Amino acid sequence: MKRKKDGKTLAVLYAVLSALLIVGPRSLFAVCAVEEKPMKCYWSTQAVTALAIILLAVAVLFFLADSAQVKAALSIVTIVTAAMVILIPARLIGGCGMMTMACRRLTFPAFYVIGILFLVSAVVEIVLLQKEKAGAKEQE
Amino acid sequence: MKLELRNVKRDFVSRSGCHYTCIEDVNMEIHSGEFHLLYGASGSGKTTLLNIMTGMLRPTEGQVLLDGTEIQGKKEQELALLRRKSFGYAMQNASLLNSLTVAENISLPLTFFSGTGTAEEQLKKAGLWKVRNSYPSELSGGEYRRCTILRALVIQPDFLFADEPTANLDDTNAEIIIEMLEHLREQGTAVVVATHDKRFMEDSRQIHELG
Amino acid sequence: MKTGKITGLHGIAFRNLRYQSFKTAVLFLLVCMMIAALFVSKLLVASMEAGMQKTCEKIGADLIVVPDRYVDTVQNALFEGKACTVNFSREWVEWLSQTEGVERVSYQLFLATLTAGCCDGENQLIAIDPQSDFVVKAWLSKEGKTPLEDGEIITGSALGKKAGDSVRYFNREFRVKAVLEETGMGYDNSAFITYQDAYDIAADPMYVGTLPFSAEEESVSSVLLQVKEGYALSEVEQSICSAYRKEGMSVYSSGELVGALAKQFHAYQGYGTWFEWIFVIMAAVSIFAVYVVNIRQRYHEFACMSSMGFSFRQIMVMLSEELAVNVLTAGIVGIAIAGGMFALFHLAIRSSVGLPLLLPGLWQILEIGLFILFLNILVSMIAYLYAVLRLRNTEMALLVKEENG
Repeated sequence: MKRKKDGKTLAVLYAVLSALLIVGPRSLFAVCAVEEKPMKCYWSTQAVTALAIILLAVAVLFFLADSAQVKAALSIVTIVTAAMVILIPARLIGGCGMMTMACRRLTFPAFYVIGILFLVSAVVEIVLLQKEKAGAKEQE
Repeated sequence: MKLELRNVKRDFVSRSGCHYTCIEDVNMEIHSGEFHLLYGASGSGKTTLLNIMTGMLRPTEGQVLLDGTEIQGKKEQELALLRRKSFGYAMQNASLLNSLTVAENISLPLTFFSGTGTAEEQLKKAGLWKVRNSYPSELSGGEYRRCTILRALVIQPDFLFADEPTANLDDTNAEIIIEMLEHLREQGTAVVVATHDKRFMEDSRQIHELG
Repeated sequence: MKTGKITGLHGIAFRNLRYQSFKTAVLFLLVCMMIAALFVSKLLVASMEAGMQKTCEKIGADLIVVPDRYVDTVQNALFEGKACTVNFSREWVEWLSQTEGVERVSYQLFLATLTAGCCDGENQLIAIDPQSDFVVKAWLSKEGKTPLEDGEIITGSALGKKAGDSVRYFNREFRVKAVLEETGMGYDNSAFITYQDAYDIAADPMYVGTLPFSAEEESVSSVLLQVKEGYALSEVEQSICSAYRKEGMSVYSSGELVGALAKQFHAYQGYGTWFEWIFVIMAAVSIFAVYVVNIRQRYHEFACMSSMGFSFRQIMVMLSEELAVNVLTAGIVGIAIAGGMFALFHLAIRSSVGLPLLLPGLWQILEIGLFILFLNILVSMIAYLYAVLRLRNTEMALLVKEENG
């Protein structure tokens, strides 16, 4: 069956999730305010914001993309970036030591959920693109 | 083979709870190679009669006999077996599964019940090869009707029942359908058509007026 | 799309699900959301129960003695981990240990820490006497049960430390000796040092005046008692009260001290049980309705299959396969998502609920999950049986009429 939306819905989903990654840590699931010197949680958030900008760009490109190859490439970029969204707070930079601090309690779990959503949707997109490709070959 | 109806009557209960008789005292004999028309206006009981003949409905009174054996008393499983082997039924609005393609719909009875593979030949003959990968909802009226007939005849039944097979079709498409049915009759199948389409009227066909 | 031979009833079932992808997705989402919401509500109540139960079990002491003007402060420190500094004379320990019916006495001294930056939340630093302690020990695994020495520290589970790490408090390095298991209460945010270390801090010129006790004073913040077997709690409580009321002593049984929390919890639990049942019924009715409506919309298709020669049983097998796919996938996905979210955000939920909240054990989580999955299967089976009975009593040809009108 031909997919009618040509990935536009996915592009919108990516854009919303990216925006959430940028705005969320500053409002909805904020980390604690910087006092004397910025702590790990601050740097994690900054790094995730940078990744979110990449993901937002991916969303825009996804919206414009027509070719399956470009979409597949964008999906791979999404997978790598989303993995970083999870790894930066979890391993690479981290956050406050105390589990009860805002970053550990709310901000990072939110990053993990958004990261997983990106990962799952990108993997599903690649699988669907593969199936479409196989279907097209069969039709020929 | 002979299908016989004796004093068949069927009552229904309306939603408001009223009982009404749809058909009454129907007597009919259908033999192999015959073409029967159940002719009448809407609501005259044509579809009900077809449903009774195919075992999809049970008569309130009377008998339906296949080669002298009553079928209305048979179990649901036995009736299903009969429809699988001897009765091809092209219902008016419920003849194709929307989730399957044309090719899948038509070969479904073959793959399930006789294991004889696809209906490639029949599809080509009926001019449906081009639309074999389309879904029923994507077909034109003429193509849809041809599909329903083809699906019913693919098992090479002893009796073929078709409900309004030419309804809302232009002359060209109606002609194709009538030809398909006639061709089937020539091969020895008994054809029973419920219709109010005058294009079916021909002296060689047995007409039963209802209503 | 792949076309060709359809083999088996499951082939038709899967094609139906795929063809009506929107309907399948809506049905999936509806069931998934119901299941997820039900799972979270049950998990929340179970977590509160687990938290309360463990708090009551492991609070360790039968009676807690604090100065009467500090009851709230101590309660906040104990259950919510709010740092506080309370102290009174150590003489009390001597007096209380001589009271009839008292088996053991343990005492603690609270030192609130200073907050330096974003990541250094206020911890409750508590000095304990390792020899007499029986409270902190209860939350330690075997390895950590050897007495705490000077320069060593036991940390609460939320501090994110592990044994062997070092940690700085009041400009002094401590080696983490052990980490408490998760308590769901204030101890998660606390750290425990020896009395000697606490007095060393108090003697440090940098902190003179910062702490509300001096190195010379022999202070305590709370005294915890275990009552001898054969003595009623109320009896001992009464005798302490009458002997030391003038000193400003307040005696609370552990039960009383957790009483306010217990009251709050029971209120939650009471409403929770009602809401849970209302929710279970609503979810069951909704899922039932969704399934029944879905089956009713398929009459046309069943009649078509029947006209082809499919038996009633075959049609029902196909239908049950479709339902099973939906019930199981939606159920499992719903539970997995809800469980994952709950585990990720349980600390956030705990802070908003304000009650000790402990994730129940894996087995209990599985039990809840299985209960909900069973409920979903049961409801879908009832819907399925209802549909089967209706279909069995209706002649196939009439189904088309029913669906049309």
